[in-house]
Amino acid sequence: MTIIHLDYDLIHELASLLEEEFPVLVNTFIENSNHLLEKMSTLLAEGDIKIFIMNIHSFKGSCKNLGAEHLADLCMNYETLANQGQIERIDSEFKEIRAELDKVSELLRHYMNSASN
Amino acid sequence: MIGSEPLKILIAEDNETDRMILERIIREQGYRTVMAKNGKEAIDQFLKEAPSIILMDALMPVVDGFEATQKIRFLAGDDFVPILFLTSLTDDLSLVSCLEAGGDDFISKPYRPVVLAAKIQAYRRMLVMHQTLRHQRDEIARSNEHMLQEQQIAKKVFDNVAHMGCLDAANIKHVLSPMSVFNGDVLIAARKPSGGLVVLLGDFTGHGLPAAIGAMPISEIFYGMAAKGFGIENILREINQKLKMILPVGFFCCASMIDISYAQQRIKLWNGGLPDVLLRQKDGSVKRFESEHLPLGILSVDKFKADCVQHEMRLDDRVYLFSDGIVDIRNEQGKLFGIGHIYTMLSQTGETETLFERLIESAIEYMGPEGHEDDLTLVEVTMEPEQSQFDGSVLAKSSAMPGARDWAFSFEFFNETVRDFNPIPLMLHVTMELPELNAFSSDLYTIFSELISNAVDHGLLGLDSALKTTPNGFQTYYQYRSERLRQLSEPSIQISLRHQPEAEGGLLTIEVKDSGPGFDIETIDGLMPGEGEYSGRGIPLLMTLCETVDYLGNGNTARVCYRWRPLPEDDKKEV
Repeated sequence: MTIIHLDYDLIHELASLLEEEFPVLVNTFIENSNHLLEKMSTLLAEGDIKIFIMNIHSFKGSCKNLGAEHLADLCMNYETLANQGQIERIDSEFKEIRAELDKVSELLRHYMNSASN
Repeated sequence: MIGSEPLKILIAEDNETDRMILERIIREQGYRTVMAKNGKEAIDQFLKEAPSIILMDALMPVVDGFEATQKIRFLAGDDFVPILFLTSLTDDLSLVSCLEAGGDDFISKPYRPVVLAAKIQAYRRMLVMHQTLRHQRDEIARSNEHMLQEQQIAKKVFDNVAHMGCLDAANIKHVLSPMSVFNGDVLIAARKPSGGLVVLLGDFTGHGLPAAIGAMPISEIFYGMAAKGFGIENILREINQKLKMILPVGFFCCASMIDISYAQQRIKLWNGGLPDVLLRQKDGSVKRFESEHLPLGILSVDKFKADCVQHEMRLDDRVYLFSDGIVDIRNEQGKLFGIGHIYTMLSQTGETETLFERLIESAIEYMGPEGHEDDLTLVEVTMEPEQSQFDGSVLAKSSAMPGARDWAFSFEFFNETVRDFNPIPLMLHVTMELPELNAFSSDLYTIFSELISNAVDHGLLGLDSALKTTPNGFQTYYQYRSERLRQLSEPSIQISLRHQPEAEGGLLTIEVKDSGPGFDIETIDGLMPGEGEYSGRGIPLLMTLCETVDYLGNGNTARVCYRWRPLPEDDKKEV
């Protein structure tokens, strides 16, 4: 199965919908996502699983809305594990998710740059 | 209002980027947006902004989407507020829980503008439909309530007008549907000033208010005219004319009407379109009187026939009037109860006191548990012995006006009018201007009719009342009477009434002067009549009723004085 980092059809649709606001959306997404990962690490460390689930669920939703399908899938794995109480299997540093977020962020920035040129 | 301005849509979503995307999609569709970042804000915004549609994220901090939905549903009450769940939940159970929490639908992430627009459009149509339905439902409820209220008022008015008669008299038994006014049945009865009863049973075409409307003028005319001593022919003519005038084409009133005279022990009846009127004689034989006329309200004045059938009716004979309700009863096999069945029941000999009750029971039993007792309207009237002339029956409720107390009235009539016109209703009408005299109308009727018939029969025609003592003589008498009336040249009768108030009650002086040659008062047979005779009682009867009876001049002016005292309250009969 090929990994889809970014659904470009969806990105096109969003870009034409939001027009000049599209970069704001992208930047907000990247900024909020990094912030959220920090927050979720703390939550995991403090054992606040309920809030962790709510946050990873919300993060997953925003990933889907930006067409970051693989990122959403990674979030869903962790959400499922948390729901099943298998906290020990969640990497509290979110290495995999961070790497994917960086990848998606790079693709999004690239998309914006090519679109503006 | 939906449709006039853009819908307001509440978006409850905790994720900032999701909110941005949603808000933009919704605004692009031309809707207004209200934003909330969690369930609590959603509830607050719902109360503040009253949005038409809500897009609700499931998992949110503070208060989640499920709880907010339940709360909003509660707050919305009767209002239809579509709640669409925004969800990245994918398993079926989670989607079901959105609907169970009171969501109407769900929208999955990632949002697609086309899908969102289509869903919102679909719910907009539902909102319009819901609003229309609710509007119509409220309208129907309002108009139904209004109609019930009107019917209650109409029934009250009708009861007041129609049931002031003497249906509760001891010799009348009747069944009348409690909602008779709206199934078009009318049953009214009144005592006559001359003693006896008039009863009318009517059945209007149709149901509901239209059927009830015609009953009002019928009652008014019936009671008004019966109290003044009009014959049933006149009452029928008047009712027919009125109904003909007011009812639309195709509406009419089938009716039967009877006039029972206790004094003469006879019944006069008219039947226009109702089932046979049945007269059960004491020996068990039953006479049927079929409808011989068209119903009331069809024929114009000149074509209407008020001819009545007369029949003797002895003490304890019973007469039955029906609407077609009882006749048209069918049993479970669909077989008609029919007038024949009733005829057979009435023909049975034996105990007659409970005949009416047995007839009703039999009808109810026949129709079985599915039947509608409400459709039964029938009446039984039993012949009574001649009542005391001093019975101070109240014939109609007294007028609220204080009335004329000190007055004189005179009236003279000539030629054909002497032959054809009955002045007694007019005389009663004039005297009833004083409401307390209602209680004495029976006396007054007797006095007036004796004076008038004396003036015509003896004063103008010189007839010998001794002729009337045999049944044959009666016929001869009336034959003479009409012949001689034709032969008279320029007859006239002058009537003068004078009422003077007294400390209590008053004095009514009545003078009747005829244009005849006069007669010698000394030759009049002054004996009281024997029981059952009613020929020679003129003057003795006047003497028992009046304080004075005098013949003036050469005997062609009769003057009587009638003094009355108000009846004590508890002596007045409620009718």
